[in-house]
Amino acid sequence: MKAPPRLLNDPAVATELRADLERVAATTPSYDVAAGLAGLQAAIASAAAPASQTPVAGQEPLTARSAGASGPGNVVGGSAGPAGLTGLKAALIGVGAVALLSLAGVSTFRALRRDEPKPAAAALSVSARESANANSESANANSESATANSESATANSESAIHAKSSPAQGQASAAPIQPTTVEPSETAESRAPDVLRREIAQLARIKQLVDDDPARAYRLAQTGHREFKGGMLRQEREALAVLALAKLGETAQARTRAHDFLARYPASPLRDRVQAVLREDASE
Amino acid sequence: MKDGRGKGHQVNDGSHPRDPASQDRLDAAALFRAHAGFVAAFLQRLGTPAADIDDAVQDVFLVAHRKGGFVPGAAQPRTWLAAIAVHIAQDGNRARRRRRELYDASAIDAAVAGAPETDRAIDARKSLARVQQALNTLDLEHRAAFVLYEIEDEPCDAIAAAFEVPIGTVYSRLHHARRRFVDAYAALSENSAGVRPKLAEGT
Repeated sequence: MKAPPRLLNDPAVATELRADLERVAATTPSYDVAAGLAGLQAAIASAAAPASQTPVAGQEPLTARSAGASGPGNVVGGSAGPAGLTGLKAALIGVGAVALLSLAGVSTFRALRRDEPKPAAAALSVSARESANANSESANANSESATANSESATANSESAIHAKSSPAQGQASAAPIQPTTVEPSETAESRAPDVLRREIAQLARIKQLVDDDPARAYRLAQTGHREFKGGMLRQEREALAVLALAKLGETAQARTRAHDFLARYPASPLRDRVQAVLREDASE
Repeated sequence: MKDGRGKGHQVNDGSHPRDPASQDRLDAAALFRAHAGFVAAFLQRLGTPAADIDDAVQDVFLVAHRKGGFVPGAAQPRTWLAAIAVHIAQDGNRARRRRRELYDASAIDAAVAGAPETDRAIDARKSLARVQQALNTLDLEHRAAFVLYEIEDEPCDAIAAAFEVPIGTVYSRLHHARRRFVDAYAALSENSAGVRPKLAEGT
């Protein structure tokens, strides 16, 4: 089987259809890239500040790269920048920031966009950042509570790994579980697209735990795989699960899953870190 | 061939230090500048209502950022972003179904909004409406393959890489999508002008 000719180039196809496809291909919906980029920058910047002030153990501070004419506050692409950030760190170092951004920055920015039709990019950026910073603490707390709920539901089913957990494991489960704040205008149904944001927040939590409490990190990754079937971040979650298994000394399982990971995601940005698990195991 | 394919996708413009371990990355801001318009159009053609486009575009690039930006490989930036956009659109569609909201024509209006109502603009609006109606008969994965290949002129190998499926799967999706699209379009045309387009033999 080979690629078919494009319909709009296929003389066997009706002229009217080809003409319509050609018009559609030539039509680009109006989209305000400047305003959209300002929103993206504001949201990322709003999350970058608190994340860099409270670095997770073993994690480099978020290294931000200015984008074009952006001011020092409007940093973008922190986790994506190539300068000194490689492999898993490059891919995951911004997880905490993006989790906050998802729960605070984005909703704040969107609320502003709804209230203020087409504001100037610079003003929008500053407003969104200030508001998002004010809300980031509570948003983070909600993320934690959601994670704690999710994790506790499956803790018993992971007893083998549980037995190897560190003393720090009980801390989060002992923490008070706070109700998730819901905007009055939102219903449970309208929050359905926020599955992605919950997935991002959960991944941030796994990343935070993987060094200090790999057992919990592993359980949470397994929970995430079940909760977010078909989710967008399975690759990142699985990489963390492999790292957690390796840290727990579950060598055989770590190797098996590392090989599966490399076979499934041969071009993954996380490939180097997963391969390192295999190398470390071989050298022992 | 349009911009954004082939050589147009070279991302190492010299302004970014090269990272030998992870190759050249295209971060969220660079991706946004280069491809936000494409993503908005793609989401619209997937059936995302105009009112949700801005948020959906933001979500696509937030996920792109979280994934560490685009790393050159078999996939191209546009097809890589399109694969993310399909997930975002899927989540949005599920939510709308739960809210019992139906797709409306607002996206089509938005696509030509601001353009003067010349004959050409009116023709474009009618074309968009017909094509969008036919597209709406396809399921999401077939629609995505069809839009990327037939409208956005993306190569099949890049689509396969971005969606992490064999290239034969892309051909198969295209095959089914083209048949369904042509049938749906023919039905629309019969209703309006009595013209039934045909599909080439063997496609």
